[in-house]
Amino acid sequence: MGFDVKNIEDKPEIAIVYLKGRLDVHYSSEVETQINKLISEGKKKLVISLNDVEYLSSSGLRIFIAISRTLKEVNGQLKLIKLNETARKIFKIVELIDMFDIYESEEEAINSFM
Amino acid sequence: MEKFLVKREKFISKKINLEKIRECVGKALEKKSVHEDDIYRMQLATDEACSNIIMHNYDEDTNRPIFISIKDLGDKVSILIEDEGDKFNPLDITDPNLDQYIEKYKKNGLGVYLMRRLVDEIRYHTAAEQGNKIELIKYLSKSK
Repeated sequence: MGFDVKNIEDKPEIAIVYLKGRLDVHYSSEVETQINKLISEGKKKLVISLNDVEYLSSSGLRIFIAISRTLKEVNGQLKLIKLNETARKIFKIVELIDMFDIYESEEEAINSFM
Repeated sequence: MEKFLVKREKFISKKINLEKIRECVGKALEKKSVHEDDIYRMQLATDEACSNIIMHNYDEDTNRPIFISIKDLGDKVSILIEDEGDKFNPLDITDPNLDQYIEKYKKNGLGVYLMRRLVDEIRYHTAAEQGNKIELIKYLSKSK
């Protein structure tokens, strides 16, 4: 499971996370730990790209729910970007698509932070 | 006419084996030229069922068996998943209220909810003397 992070120079609270690979029960807890580490380091505005997620199960969805909740508690925000066909399909099946802020591009997501 | 596509193939209850289980389901259903969307749904539903077995029925014990059987039932396919763990009927789990789920972040229930939305029927075989038998049935769309 790939996990890359990009920081924005003049916006220290923002981090862009690029997930790559299979987000199943095997890898989900590892990803959640890494994202929680970012939040504890002060990254309260997170953008997560799902462009390269090949597989997503409920344990993956659970991460986004958990992160969303953790960020709310610290007045942060989560934006999801570039949902590929696999990710979009599963978000629709479980009817979670309207419960997240989803954008097509990094720029849109970054500009949407208040 | 019933035909086995996979007959009681054994997997060990390691999370890393979920990928092998998904591959097993995928290869079996591809042989029957099942539509790729139905294959994806069955792979995901099987993954959810097996994840529940590993995490709950076996309490993350990584050396227990999971048996997968896949049957061609003509206009539908069935996947029977057997374990030897604690008795657990996933059909006893009620669907979560998704608004509350996010608001209060309840950890359980999402996997079973997802399974219900992915397949057409879920049967829990109550007659099993020990362990659990859960059967996932999907009515097939037109072949790809």
